[in-house]
Amino acid sequence: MRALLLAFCVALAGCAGSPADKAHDTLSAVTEVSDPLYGGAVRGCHALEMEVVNREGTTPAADAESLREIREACDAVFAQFERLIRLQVAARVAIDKFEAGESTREDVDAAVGAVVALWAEVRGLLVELEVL
Amino acid sequence: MDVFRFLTEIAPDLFKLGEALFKLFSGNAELAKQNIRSRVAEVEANRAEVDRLLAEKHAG
Repeated sequence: MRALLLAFCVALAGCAGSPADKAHDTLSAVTEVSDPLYGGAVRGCHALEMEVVNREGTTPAADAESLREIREACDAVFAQFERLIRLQVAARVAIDKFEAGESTREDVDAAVGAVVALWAEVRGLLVELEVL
Repeated sequence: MDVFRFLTEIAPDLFKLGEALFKLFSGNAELAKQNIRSRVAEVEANRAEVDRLLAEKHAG
């Protein structure tokens, strides 16, 4: 019951707010999903590597090649997660500057838009990782 | 607890507190760097373990 009431209050609060608040909310929504996914990608990549360790009847060269492929794909995903975190920090700075009257609404839109666009890319990479 | 009091007095404060903490975590550059560093360290530790196990596998 308490959780339901809290969700109701959060929903109400989400309906109001300035453009800066809404921009922060967008970034927070991305963080809320992307951060656990970053951790999940780290664990998933380790699980893929452990499959190589645990399989039988393969040569050292074949295992090394499989490991290289997995690490290459995983490094690409990790790099994008890191870029996403840095872009989010930059977008928060852009919002703060907008609130202080030091930048325009377009600057904020561009910074938040860059985060949302990269987030779509990262999701695409995660799908590719699942194929491995 | 009185539902009306919860809705009007306590819940908005809880929401503001949660939102402030969330913004602090996701917006603070130093915390963001720490987050990246801890993930990188986790990946490096995982890979060192895999390299060791793979060497053992083919040595045996």
